[in-house]
Amino acid sequence: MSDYLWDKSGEPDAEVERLETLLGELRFEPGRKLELPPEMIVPARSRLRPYPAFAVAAALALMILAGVWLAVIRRHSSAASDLQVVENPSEAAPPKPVEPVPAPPRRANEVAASGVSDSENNLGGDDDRRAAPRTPDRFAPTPLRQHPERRVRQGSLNRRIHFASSTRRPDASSPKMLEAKRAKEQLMLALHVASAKINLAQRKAPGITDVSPGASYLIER
Amino acid sequence: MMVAGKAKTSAVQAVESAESGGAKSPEAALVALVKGGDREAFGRLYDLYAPMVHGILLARVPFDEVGDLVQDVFLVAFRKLATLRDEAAFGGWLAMIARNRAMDFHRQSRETEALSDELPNRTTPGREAAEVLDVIRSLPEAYCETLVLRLVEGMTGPEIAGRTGLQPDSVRVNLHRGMKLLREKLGIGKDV
Repeated sequence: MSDYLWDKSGEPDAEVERLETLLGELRFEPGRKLELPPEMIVPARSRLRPYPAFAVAAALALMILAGVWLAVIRRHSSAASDLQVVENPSEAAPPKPVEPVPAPPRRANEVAASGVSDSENNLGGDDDRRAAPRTPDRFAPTPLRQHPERRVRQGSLNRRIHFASSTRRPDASSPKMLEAKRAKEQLMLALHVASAKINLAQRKAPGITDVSPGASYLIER
Repeated sequence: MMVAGKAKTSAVQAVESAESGGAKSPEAALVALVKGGDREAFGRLYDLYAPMVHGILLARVPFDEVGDLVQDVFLVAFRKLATLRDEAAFGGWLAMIARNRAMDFHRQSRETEALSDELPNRTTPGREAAEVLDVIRSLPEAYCETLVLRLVEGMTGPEIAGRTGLQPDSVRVNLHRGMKLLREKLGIGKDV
């Protein structure tokens, strides 16, 4: 293959030369000059240059501002999540009212002897406990939460520190915690009912002494 | 006149300094001058690149439309020159403007009515030249453009590569394959 087609070097290709001559009449005529309108100017590049610089500067400023703002927000949120004081946890997560456990049916003479009505024994909810009058009988089963010490303790517990972070302690409003609370209430109620029964039995049979520490404690009281 | 003369002198100096080993190519130096407001430098660019633009257009549009379209292409280039970032890429950029202008021409000509035969043609090429040109236009676009630049405009392969911004190897392949196809279509010597 000759190089004439590529750079017109070497031996001329006759066919290519013939085509060049034939098509040469279509060639561009250098006589025709470009007619630029006199008012036409190349727009200055400098007009466009400041915009990228401004854009970069603005982007940097925005990034810095965003960084500062994020740091402040993060600091605030971490402080708040570490230690969130809840004045009343029940406000934060209102627990479902505990359904009262039905007490075993008692005979009328038992009720008369104990002096404790069924409504007083019904320790299902906080409201019921608050509404129940305190019995003067020292052996009468006092509701667990109504004990003066417990009330004080409960008052102090109401102002407890609540860890909201779920990684450290589960949330008080979470279903698991509510279920655990409910189970605890039911257990306490069952214990209380059992102790009341023991008290009652003790009163009915004063000669019998129980050696179990729990029973002796109840008897002493 | 004085201003034009000074501008021409500065353009020539810029090109000469570029040719004598400056960092920029002569074309890039001219483009830089035009960007600086030198209209004469653009005239020099026109002289250098008009055959390329003419060839690119001739490969796509009717012969009698090419002259006006060349002017259009250079006017567009002059107007948009500020958007050209790499001054050394002026040739490829201008070639792309020419190709786009040819496409626009065909798009617009579809929407307008065809010209009647009674309108006088400015220049009518010879019948044989027109036939050969039609055969070249029937080739694939890459071969057609390269062959027109070589056979019509008389540019060498390296010149085509330098002006259009194409790779020299690509131009060489396009030239030889295009020429082979053209010979086959024209029924001329296959063994040349």
